[in-house]
Amino acid sequence: MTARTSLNRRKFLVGAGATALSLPFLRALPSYAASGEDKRYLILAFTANGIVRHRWGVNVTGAGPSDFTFKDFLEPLTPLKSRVVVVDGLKNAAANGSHEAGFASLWSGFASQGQTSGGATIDQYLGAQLNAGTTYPTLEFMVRSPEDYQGKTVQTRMIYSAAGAPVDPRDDPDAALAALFSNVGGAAGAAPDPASVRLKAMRAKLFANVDADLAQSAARLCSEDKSHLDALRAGFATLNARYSAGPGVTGAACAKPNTVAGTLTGFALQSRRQMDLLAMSLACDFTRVASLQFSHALSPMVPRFLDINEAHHDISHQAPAYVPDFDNPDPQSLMQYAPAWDKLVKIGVYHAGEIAYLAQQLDQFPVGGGKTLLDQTTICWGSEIDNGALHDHDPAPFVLIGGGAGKLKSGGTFIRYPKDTRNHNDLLVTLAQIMGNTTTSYGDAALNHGPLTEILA
Amino acid sequence: MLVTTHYARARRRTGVFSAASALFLACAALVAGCNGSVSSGSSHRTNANPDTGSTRGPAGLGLYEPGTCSGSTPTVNRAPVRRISRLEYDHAVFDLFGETSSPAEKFVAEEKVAGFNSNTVTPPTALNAEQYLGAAETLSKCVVEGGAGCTTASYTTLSGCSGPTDAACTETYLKNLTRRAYRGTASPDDQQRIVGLYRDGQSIDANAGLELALQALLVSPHFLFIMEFGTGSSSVVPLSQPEIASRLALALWRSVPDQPLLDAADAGELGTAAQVETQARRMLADGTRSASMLGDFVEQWIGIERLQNVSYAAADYHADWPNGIDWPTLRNAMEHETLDFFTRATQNNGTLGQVLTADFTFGLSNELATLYGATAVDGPNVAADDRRFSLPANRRGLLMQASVLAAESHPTRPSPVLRGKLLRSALFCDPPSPPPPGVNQAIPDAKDTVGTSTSDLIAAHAKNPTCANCHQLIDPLGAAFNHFDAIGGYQETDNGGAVTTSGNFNSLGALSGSFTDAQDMVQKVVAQQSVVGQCYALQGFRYALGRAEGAGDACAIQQVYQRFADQQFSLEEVIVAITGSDAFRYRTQVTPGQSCQ
Repeated sequence: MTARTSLNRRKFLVGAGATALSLPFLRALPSYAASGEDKRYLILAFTANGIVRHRWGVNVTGAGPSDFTFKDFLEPLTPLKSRVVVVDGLKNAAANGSHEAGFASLWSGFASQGQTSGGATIDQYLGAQLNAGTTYPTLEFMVRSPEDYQGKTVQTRMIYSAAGAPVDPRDDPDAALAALFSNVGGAAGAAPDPASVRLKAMRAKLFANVDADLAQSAARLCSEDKSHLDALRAGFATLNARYSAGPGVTGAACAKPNTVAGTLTGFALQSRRQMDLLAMSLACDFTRVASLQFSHALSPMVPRFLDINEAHHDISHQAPAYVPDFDNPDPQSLMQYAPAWDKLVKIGVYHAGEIAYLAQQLDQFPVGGGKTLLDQTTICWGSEIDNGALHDHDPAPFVLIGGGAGKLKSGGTFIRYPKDTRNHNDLLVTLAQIMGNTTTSYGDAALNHGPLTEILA
Repeated sequence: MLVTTHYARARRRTGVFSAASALFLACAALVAGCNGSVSSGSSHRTNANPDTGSTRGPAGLGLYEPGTCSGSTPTVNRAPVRRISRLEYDHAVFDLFGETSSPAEKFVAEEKVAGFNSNTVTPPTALNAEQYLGAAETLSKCVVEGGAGCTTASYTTLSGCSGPTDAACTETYLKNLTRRAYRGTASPDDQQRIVGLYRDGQSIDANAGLELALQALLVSPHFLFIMEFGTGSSSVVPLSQPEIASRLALALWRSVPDQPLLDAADAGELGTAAQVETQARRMLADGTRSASMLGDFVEQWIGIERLQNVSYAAADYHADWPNGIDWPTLRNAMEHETLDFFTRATQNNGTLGQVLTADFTFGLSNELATLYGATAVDGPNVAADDRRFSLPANRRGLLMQASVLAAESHPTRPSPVLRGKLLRSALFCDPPSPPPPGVNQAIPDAKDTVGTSTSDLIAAHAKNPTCANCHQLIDPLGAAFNHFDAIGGYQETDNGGAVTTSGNFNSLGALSGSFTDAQDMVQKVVAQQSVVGQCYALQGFRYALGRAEGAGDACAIQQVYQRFADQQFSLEEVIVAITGSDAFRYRTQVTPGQSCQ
């Protein structure tokens, strides 16, 4: 029997890839300094197949509210502890016993039998409600493994703009870099570079042409068919508006991310690139609301870069669906299931490290008043399930990272709600209120009890 | 997607399969003598107990019921406008520009319609537009300017022109390119639009005009969508000949037409069913292009695209492989065998019966040959891909290839439920209902349940009446394969428990009775081939037309099936029959701006 795997915390925090974001003494983000607006950011983050309960959460070390250390699964969050809130004990009452139902209801709070979401996810709602005038109402990112399902299904889609209407995430860092940052690069005051001028001139002609081309063809179609061409026409019109706007935020703080691969390849490299793109997208104020999924529900990912040659979902079923006490498994279970639990923890720690990296990148951007972009941000990290083998959603594990623009309790917080008292709808409402929205209910009304005031500042 | 887009799986017509076909003359004669009709009921299958003594057959084949086709005039269901698939995009840019990097693999994936990839349901979004724009800008820059990382042919090679400023030559090239990219349906206005951009763009610089023209082509609705209008104004009208050329290129090559096909449309040689079928045969004889299409079909039809999403610690099963093997390598070998086998069968006069019962296969890797206990018939002087292997008695045909078995298994166990579901859906067009919500679907790890076989585990389905209603339709079909472990290796015992494989065909119309094991089952499926044959014709229809069938398609589908049956269920003939059918050559007429229904 092996002892608990010794984890090199630094490996996950620093990583092998340096980035252009890791520059010290950056100038404050000009958009902040100039406008004085209290800009708040939300990131919904997802990892798959649940947690290992007895190795997730905290070890209480004293009587004070912040007297704890993180257990294995969350250990990479240690340097960020003062801006972490671990929320245990919430129930996802909207989910009916499957990965799919958990995924479809995770950010929407609408009851799901596992076919689709019953309504818009909170990010889409907030993006529309905030109407912040940013280039993108929301941004959706995915780190995709080669084993992931390709289709647009309830297993792969986390974000819904409406009931039954999934939103596709960006899973290609090259395409995201090109699309998101095509207007970014020039230093303030410098003449635009010739390549950008040329691109802009060509796009002006191309957009005008494709709009006319689509209009002409659409006019010949019957209405259901026409709606498809109209949708593409609207899509190009959206791109046109984005790209023909000025260079947007300029200056050293908002720049094209340039992830240096170092020794990273495959999924691990893709993850770092997506983290850098997401962090810089917020720094450039492209959006206030974003989401990030690592793989998808029932993740079939085989994390060979962690020396694990089995699918994540398969390993989650090697762990037991039943032990006498999940918070404190008996020695027999510990011995029997150590291999499966150790693998799951290793995967969990990797993901915690990536989310910690994201948070630390956000922390590189000062916003004035001694604060950073991380202080203005709430990262809400959850999964579609609690115990992967049991397929339960009670309790549903959540971790919040960031300052929440001063609305989130600081200093480091762990809370465990008593069973059957609060649902995760209450957390969704809390996120909305942190973002300045006044809603008191989200998802299915009957599942709401109001915001989680215990975790608010 | 397993199928690569630069036609890397080209198969030559070697005649090896047809030589093998000769071994099955006795079987072929038996098949030709089978004339069973499918008895079918009128009600869609529900969860109610189906064993009521009614003469119901697979519900998906309601189109074959007597009385569903009455007409002498063509009828057809509506074809919703479809956006080209990722494979079609990649094949097109390969054929048009020599692009080998498969840019569309990174596009948002299609949805499944009637089991096959089809962009007809969800309208495109700004993200789709972004992807199309990005690909168009990259492709056009590579063609015109070249540079690091580019994998297209050069402009001079493609056009024969001296460069972008060679105006007369370039404008001719662009007009021809537009015609081909729009799959034969470009109007003079469409061509003029592209030429106009070429001229206009030169105000930016010498290359910009040509780049813009190419970009405009690649984001045009004429390229990205398949828009059809037909000719005439009655309720059902023939497609125009360019529209038929477009359909042929998409259905048979998943690409754009070649010059002979465009010429045939120009010359009015796609007007009759016979003419269309002549072109279809020519196009199917292009081994490279049709191989890619056939691979795309079979990986979706028989479910082996799911191999990308599963993983096995192969060493658990066959630690005795000489050098060990990792799962991705083994998976690639499995995919290769099945794509090769099916493509070879279709291109060499193979029949559905042969595919299901063959005692041979091709191109096995060393590990697969060891896994099967198969012996090479051809020596090392025959190229590895062409090398025929003889199978031992315990393994027959497509359904017992490792790819199919491994795609339908759990991490440490075979799955009669998944395998039964595949057979029911893919072979008999009668997909079972999904499990009710809240059902515990957790499968015990084999290591935790040594001595308990798969048969032992699923016995619970038969004992519980709520489960049995559906599972008696699924489990017996899958249990026939219980001698094959999770990666498709033969096993005498199953996790230390006994293997049982016998079962019954339940609610499959004329296909009834019992079978002892998988080999016996496929022989009986082929002996009563109308059931699998009708479904296969329907699956081919769905794939070729990119949509689900409807009542209006009944006559066309019945005619396709009749041709299929008359031709000993030849895999190539059914494709040709589909292209000649009314459903392929006619459309319902619609009014612009009004509802399509």
